[in-house]
Amino acid sequence: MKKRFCTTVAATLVAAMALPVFAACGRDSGNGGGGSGDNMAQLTYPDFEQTPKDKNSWEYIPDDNDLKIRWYVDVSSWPIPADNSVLRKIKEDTGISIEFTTPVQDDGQKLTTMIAGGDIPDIISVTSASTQMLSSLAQQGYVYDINTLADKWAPTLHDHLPKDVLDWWAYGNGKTYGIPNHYYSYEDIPEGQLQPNGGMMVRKDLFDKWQAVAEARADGDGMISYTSRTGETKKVEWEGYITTPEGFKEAATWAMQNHQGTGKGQITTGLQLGQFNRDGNVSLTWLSQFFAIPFETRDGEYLYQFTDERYADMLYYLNELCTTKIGGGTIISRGNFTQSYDGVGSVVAGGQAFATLVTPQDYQMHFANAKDNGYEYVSMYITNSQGDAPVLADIRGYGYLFNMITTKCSRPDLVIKLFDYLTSEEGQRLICFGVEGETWEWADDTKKQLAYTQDFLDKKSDPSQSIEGYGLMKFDLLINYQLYDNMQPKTNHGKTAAEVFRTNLKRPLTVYAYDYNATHFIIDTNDGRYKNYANALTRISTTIGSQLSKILLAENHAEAVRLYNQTVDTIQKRNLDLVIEMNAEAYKKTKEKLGITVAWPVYREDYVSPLNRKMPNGDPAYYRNY
Amino acid sequence: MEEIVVTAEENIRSAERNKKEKKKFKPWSSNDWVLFCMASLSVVFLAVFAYAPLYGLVLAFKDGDGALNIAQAITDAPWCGLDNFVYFFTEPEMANIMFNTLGLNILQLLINFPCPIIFAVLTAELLSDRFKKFVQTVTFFPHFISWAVFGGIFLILFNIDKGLPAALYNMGLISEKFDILGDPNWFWWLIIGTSLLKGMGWGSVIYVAAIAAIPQELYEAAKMDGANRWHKIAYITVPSIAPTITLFFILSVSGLLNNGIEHILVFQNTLNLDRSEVLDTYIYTYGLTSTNNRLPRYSYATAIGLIKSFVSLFLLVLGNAVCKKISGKGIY
Repeated sequence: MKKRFCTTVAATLVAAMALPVFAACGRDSGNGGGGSGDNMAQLTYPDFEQTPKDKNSWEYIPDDNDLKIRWYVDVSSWPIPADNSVLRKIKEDTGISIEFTTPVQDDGQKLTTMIAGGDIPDIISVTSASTQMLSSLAQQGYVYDINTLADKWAPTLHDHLPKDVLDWWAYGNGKTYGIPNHYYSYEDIPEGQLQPNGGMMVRKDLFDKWQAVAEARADGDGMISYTSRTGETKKVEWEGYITTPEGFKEAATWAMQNHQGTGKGQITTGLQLGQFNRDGNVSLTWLSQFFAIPFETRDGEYLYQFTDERYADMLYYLNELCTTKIGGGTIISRGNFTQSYDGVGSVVAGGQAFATLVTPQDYQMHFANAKDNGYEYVSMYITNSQGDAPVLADIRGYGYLFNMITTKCSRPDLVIKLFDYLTSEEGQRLICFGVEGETWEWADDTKKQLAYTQDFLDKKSDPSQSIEGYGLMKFDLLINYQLYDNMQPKTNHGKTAAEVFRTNLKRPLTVYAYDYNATHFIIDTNDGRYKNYANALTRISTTIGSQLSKILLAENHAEAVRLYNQTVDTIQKRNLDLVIEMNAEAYKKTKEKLGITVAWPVYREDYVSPLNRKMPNGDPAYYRNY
Repeated sequence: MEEIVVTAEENIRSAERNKKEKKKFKPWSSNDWVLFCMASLSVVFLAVFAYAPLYGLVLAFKDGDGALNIAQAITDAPWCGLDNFVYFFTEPEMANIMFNTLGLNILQLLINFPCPIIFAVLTAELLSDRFKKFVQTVTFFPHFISWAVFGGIFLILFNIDKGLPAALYNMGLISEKFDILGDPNWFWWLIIGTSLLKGMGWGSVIYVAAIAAIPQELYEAAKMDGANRWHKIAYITVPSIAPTITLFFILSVSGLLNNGIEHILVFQNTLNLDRSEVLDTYIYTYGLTSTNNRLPRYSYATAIGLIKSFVSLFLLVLGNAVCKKISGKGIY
């Protein structure tokens, strides 16, 4: 009897202690579970009272509301805003206080661990490029669709959030599962005003010196003759010689020969690329755009760039830069291949690169530091050997983050109201310019333009005072930049030189920027072929990621060609055909959704090449003094 | 001499006491419920945290890749037989990954395993206590620095553009800059060297303790018999700590597929992937993390983990058998 008692006690103990463990494993399948006809999880919504549309939805939030929500931003470098006037005003107007969290590193592990553990915050912001993660979150029922939430509890959101933004992110079921952090409405964008996403920068002092060298070499007509990489003799204006691949190589060689070293003002590399990782290097994407390598065929079909001969030629050009020895270094330093983000940043901040092909906005503080140190970087462009104008992807207003309300959110009815508040003009003014009366006032009775308060401007111009507490632009998770651009004072109203510099980092390249929306296609994770597709994609990206460095660092051209061909053979064996097939289908659907038949700008009938070799730094008309 | 006799007498008395106590000892009865409850906590701990999670191994036989919730994948994902294992064994990079995993670990077993033992023995031979403590403190210190910081020092030191290679080149001491961080041929030595620097002092702790437990009388007797230092080490110190060495050797052998992921990740880059990609980094990267192009693959990671466990178990049994055969000592 006693033995049985002990056995029972033991069994109970085991069960009691095991239960929380199983519970902690969080067998949450998001919300609802089960799939709907459109492959999306069938969501169930809490039973809160529906909100009418007669006034702004957040005005229905009870005055005594005191909700604390968790907002997870899946980017380690995202700066968590400290307590400031903007956050306090949000709390005052909505009764919602926000606690932000970020991961330690950008490998997606924290997010997947939170999901696996069932500890999902109220709002998550995932990088927009993680298309598989975004669609999986929606398909597996972890996030609510914005349309339904807005219909139920924030009908005015439809008035505040541009429809084209919501529609762009909609899945096949017509529903959108989040809002991008930066967005524009097509209607608000002045034609040809969007800057490119990537950019090439060059150290101005060295660039100017090189230009003097180039000018001295020019003939009576101001032209420089050179032999192209294909063996042809070509002529180009001396001002723009640096914008040819051959000219850039010569300029970088000159810079390394004359300024290489580790001392003050000296450079360690002729061309600084971004950080190399297993998926490749984003700098190659930017260079492929400068080299105008298309993403579709003349027939409008999807084109897989890596196997295209123009892409191969770009790799061979980079191989030349990596293997051209000057003194103890090479034009692209071998050290570039082992650098982390911070390592790249320190080269930029120290002005130790003649030119860079990093993403300028990712390193804008480093460029600003370089300027403070006396090394100003200015934009420049480079073309392919054929002299085609660059075709750069514009920094379209679809943000780098996608904000989603999770099905774990305790009060989605209030959080969608918060989204409504933040996306309204009132909210946007708050986020961008701070609290009315504190940092800004209306410039006149028309209430179209605003002006900063004198108190704010005084504090801003006083180095001993901090303006962090005002919170301007600290909350950059829901910003309609075009609205901000349209509203901001059109004079240099309190802008510091550093702010103007950052604004203009790559603005002169705007003339070469185009719409790349068709390339943002989404693969359906519920497709029967998806598993094989994902496996193939992983193997292919792994192969390319590991081979890329080898191709670029190959001892000579023949070896680079051999390694490239070997890589192409390998990825073809790893089911490249399936990847291309599914990408092509998704690409076609995206174009249909966009209502276009030709996506590559050069293939459009109205395309006019904007190439101007006389302006190697881009068009200065795009500079802004505010 | 008198003291020795007294000690022997005490030992005899103590042994008799133990015998009596043994006779008094009763096995647990079902009445000892307090003891039973106390003991059951440890059993429950093991059951919950060591055995219950074993249920998750079913994931290795399910198609749960792409699922965002492991628990959901365990219960809801369809069975896929041995697909995950087949994928692992047909993975084109797998031969290289296994080569790196085993190669690096065997080298570490050959170099990093004996080093702390030698270090402990040498430290024990130091005559100055103050100097001994100084040496121990200096060698222990790196253990308390994280790999991110400790590795970061070497990343700066060996930076080809601004570190030691550039300095030596600029001084004209070398004709070409060497790239320790990017050259895959250097990677294993980089790991072994930094492991030794960071872990040798700490790794020697257990051996220092074992040496400290050796009765000094043995050394004194050996000295009287004319033994020199080397004799004392060879015939007293090493045989006395042999059980400890055996235990750690067997454990090290069983861990031949484990590499210490944080250490490798600090120094891993796309240039040295050929030699730096080991099983642990592979599982971490492709099983647990996500990027723009891929989602976590929990099923696949579980399958590789299961394979690792079986191999480790086999190696543990093998290591134990070999040790028993050679030295007559094992862990069971």
